[in-house]
Amino acid sequence: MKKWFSLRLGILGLVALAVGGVWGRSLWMSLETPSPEAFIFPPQPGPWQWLDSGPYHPPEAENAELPGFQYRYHREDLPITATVVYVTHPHVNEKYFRSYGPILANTEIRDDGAGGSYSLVTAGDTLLLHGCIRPRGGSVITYRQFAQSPDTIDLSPSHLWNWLRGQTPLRDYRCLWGSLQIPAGAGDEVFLDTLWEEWRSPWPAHFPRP
Amino acid sequence: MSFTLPSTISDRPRLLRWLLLAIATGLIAIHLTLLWRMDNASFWGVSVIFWGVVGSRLWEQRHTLPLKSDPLSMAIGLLVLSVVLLKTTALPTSNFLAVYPFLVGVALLGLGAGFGAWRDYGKELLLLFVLGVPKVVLSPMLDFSPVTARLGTFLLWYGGVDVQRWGTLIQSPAGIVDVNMGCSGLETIFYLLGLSMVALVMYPLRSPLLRIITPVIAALLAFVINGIRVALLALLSGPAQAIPFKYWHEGDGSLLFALTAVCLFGGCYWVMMEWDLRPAPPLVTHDRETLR
Repeated sequence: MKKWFSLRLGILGLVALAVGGVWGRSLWMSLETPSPEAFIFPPQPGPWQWLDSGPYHPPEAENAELPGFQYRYHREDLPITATVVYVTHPHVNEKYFRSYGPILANTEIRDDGAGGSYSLVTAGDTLLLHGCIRPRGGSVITYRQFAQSPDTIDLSPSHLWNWLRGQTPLRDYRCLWGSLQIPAGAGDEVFLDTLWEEWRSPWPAHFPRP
Repeated sequence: MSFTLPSTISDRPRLLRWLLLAIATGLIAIHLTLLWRMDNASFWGVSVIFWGVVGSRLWEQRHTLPLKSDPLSMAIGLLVLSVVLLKTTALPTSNFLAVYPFLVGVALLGLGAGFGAWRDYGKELLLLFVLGVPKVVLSPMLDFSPVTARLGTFLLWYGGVDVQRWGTLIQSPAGIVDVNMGCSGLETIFYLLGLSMVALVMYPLRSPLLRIITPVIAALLAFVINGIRVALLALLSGPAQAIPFKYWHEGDGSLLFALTAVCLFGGCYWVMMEWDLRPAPPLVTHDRETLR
C-alpha cells in the first residue's frame, strides 16, 4: 500500500511536470490551421467524348472565389455540360445543400443504386443533376446524408491517430459539387442514374489530402 | 486536516493533494490560454464560469472528497490525459477545446479518486460535460433551422405580417431570409442548458418537478428568443435595411438577444427559488432539512 502511494506520487509528479511543459508550449506555439491542399482539376476526367474544358466560377457572388471547372462532353450524341466546384467549409456546403437539396417543390431526389444520391431539376428544356461527391466515392444530396456519412465521421484508429497528431481534421466536410446539364427528355430514370454514376465515379481519385 | 503546503516530503497525503491541485490548475491554464490565443472570447468567458463553479465546489469539499485511486483508474486517467496533452500540442481545434474540460475531468477523476468514486464528483463532471460536449456532438448532426424558421414565421403571422415559408426560407413584405444552421439558435440553447445546470448545482431546488423543468425552461427561452430575432431579421431583410439587419444579425444586436435570454432565465430561476422556499403545506410534517 505504501509502495503504491509512493508510486502514485511519482507518477503525479511527472504528470505535473508534463502539464507545466504543455502549458509553457501553449503560450507560444502556432495555432494557425494550414490551408487545405488545392484541388487539381484534371482536363478530361469524364468517361465520355471530351469536347473542351476550362475554369468555372459559380454564378453566386458569395461563392465566386471557389475553385471550379467546367467540361463539355458528348455521350452518344447527347450533349453534356458538367461543372464541379470544390468546397471544404461546412457552412458553404450548407448553402449548396439548400440550393440543390429537396427544399423546392420541383426537385426530385434519386439514388443511382450504387451509393450515389443526387437531385434532379427540370428547368425549361434542360435537365439538371446535382450532388455532393464525397472523397471516398458515393454522393449525397441532403445535409442529413452528409452529416451522417462515414466520410464525414471516420472513427477508424488510423484516422483518430492522424487527428491526434494534428495531421487531419476529425470531420471531413469536403464536397465536390458536381452538376450535369442535359436536354430534357434525354432518357428515362435508369439512364439518368447510369449517367450520374458514370460522372461521379472517377472523382474520388482526384481529391487532395484533407 | 487543513489544506496547507506540505512541510516535509514525508507528508504524503498533503503532497498528493497539492500535486493534484497543481495538475488541475495547469490543465485549466492550458485551456484558458489556448481559448484566449484563439480569440474565442465568448467560450473563454463561459469556461471561466464553469471552471470557477467546479473549482469552488471541489475546494469546499476538499477535506471530505475521497482521493484513493486504484492502478486501473490511474492507468485510464493517464491514457486520457496523454491523449488530451498530445492533441493540445498538435493543432488544437475549437471543437477539441470544447470537449477538453470533460476529458480533463475524467482524467483527473482517474488520477485522483479512481472511477469507483465517480458519484462523489458526478455534478462536477456533469457541468464539464454540458459545457461543450453536447454542442460539439449534436450541432453538426442536427439541422434545427427548419424548426426555427417555423417559429419565426408563426411569430410574424401572429403579429399580422403577411408571411410565407418554404423550408428555411421566410418571405415577408420586406424580402426573403434563409435561416441557416448558424442562426438556428442551437448554440444559445446549449449555452442556456449549461447555465441551467450551473444554477441547479450552485443553488439547488428541493422540488423534483422544478429541477426537471429548469433545463426545459432554459431551452424554451433560448429557442423563443432566437425565434423573435429571426422574425425581426425577416422584417429587416430588404436592401434598404442592410445596416440594421447587420446589427441584429451579427453585430452587438445579436448579443443583446443572448443577453436577454440569460436575464430572463435568471429571473425565472429566481421565481422558482422563491416557490421552492415556500413553507410546506400544513399536513406535511417534514422540515426542509429532512427533505434534503
